[in-house]
Amino acid sequence: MADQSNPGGMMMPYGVAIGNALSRADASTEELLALRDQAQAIVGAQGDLVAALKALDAAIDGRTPATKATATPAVERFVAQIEGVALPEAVKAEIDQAIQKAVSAEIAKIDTGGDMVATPLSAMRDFGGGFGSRTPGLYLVSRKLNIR
Amino acid sequence: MSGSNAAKLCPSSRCEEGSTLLGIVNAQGRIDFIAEPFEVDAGFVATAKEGRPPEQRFRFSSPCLKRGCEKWDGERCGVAKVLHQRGPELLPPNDAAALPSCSIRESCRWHGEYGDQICYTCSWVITEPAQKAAF
Repeated sequence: MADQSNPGGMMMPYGVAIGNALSRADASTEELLALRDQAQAIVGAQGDLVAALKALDAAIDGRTPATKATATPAVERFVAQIEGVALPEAVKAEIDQAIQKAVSAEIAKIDTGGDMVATPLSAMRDFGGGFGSRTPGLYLVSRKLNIR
Repeated sequence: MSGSNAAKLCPSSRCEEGSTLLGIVNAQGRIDFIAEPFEVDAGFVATAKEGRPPEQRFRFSSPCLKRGCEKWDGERCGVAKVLHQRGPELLPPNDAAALPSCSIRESCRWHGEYGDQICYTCSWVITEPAQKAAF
């Protein structure tokens, strides 16, 4: 006997049920007819579901500009893992420090060339050599004049 | 806001030991801000200065020097003033844009003087533009 299913709800995998029935020599004609009727009902209902899915896709696409996602900063993690050995805290601290130092050194080498790209602020020339160009203040502070 | 005596941080300073690395100039010429404070040590400074000027490739922050800085106009930061005045003209306001994940906003000189509006313009600022830029 085939399993009952509601075409509007969660459906049994009828492909499997039909395959099983066909492979059984004792499957009755009534059982095969019942399976066919149920499968046809499911296929008919899915026709509506496909149309509904397309309509849903169109509605979501139409809303995309209004639901702009908040920019989330990228996160990079660097992990060293060792199994089977319990390291002393001091050693772990040194390893952690070495990782931080390596990350810092690699970041210091980054040069995307982005400063060569024309941007909306490129037209702003009010500061000649650029924003925050060499400030005599740094020189003064280095002589501890306490001007802050 | 500009009258606060609390220590303010310059968001466009030099690459020096003890400065905070604010962000990295990305390939589009904007700043990718670092969300957490990242203090620059001597090793970073030495490595960074082996390449092109760090101020062309990164943004750094350090305490605002006020009258010790050539950009101080006597009352406020002259850089922020110009950015505030001309920023909207060059960069049409984008209300939908999220604020950058900046690690110094609470203490930032520019933000303290002009609020969130200047953060959008700030993300386009390169401390020392390349001398042979393609524009």
